[in-house]
Amino acid sequence: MNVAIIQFPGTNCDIDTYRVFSSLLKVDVSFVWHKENDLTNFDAVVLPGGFSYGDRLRAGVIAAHSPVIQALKKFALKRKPIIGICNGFQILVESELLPGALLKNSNQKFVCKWVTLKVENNNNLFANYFKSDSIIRMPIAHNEGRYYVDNEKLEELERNNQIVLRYVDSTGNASIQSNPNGSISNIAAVSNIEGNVLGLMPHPERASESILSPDSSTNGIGLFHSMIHSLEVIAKK
Amino acid sequence: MEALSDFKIDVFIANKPDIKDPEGETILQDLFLRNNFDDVISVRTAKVLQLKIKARDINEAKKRALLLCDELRIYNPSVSVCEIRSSD
Repeated sequence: MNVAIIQFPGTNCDIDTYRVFSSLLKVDVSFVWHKENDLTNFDAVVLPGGFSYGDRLRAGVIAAHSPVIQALKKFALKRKPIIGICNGFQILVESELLPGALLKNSNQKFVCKWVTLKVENNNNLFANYFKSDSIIRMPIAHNEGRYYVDNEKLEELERNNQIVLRYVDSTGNASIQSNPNGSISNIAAVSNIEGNVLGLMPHPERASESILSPDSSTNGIGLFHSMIHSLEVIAKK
Repeated sequence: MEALSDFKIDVFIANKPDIKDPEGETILQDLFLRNNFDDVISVRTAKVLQLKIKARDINEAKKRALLLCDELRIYNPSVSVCEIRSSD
């Protein structure tokens, strides 16, 4: 199994993500520069967080025109797993691999804090490690994280179980107070309709080791565990 | 062959009216209304790209600008609208 971590100019969570795969999950992992145009040797792809192209024009839009994105679109068609974290999520949206848009946070501030999340749907490649309705913790750090789709699209996401994580309070209630950026319907993570492309604003790679967590939780690694487990199941078939 | 000229084109990108605009709201509340300019009813922020394009005439320049903005996804159509204006 070989996981690709895509690097754009301005990516800055690549090394943290690499460490999770190499040191904690013990799987082969490689950095792939954005000018590459072939991903056929990989089983999964991660677009890590950062500020690709300094967020010029709109977060993620310039990276979405990189050669590697053409290869990523072919990769997605093969139903192979792709995770976009934070800026990676913004790039997936701007590449039209995921629906909607990520707008400036409603409080107009860069928000950097740990948030509580609810696993809304565990029947996908990325959250099967968790029980449905699990309450988990991960940090966020972004300025443009206000996920938006129109009402028609929101109904479609609900109907197709594409909403994977929601911002909630400690009791699991998706309240206004627990929504850190004004995302519609408290959405923190969505998948494509096929379920092999996931975008999320929280940083699972920063919530994978107890020493990095304020409450010793390591919930973030569950998403990567799920993805690897799914690939192992697919490989056995 | 008709000579090409330079045309100045403004690409005006604004979020659709139903998208909340916290920056515009802050400008309205904390700049205009706080300073008693009560005749200001609303503020919406937008982005303008000023292009200079070689074309035969202004209509061709505007058409070309719109085509490129669509092609390169200069605006995200799920939240924004794009208007091409001549600034000459």
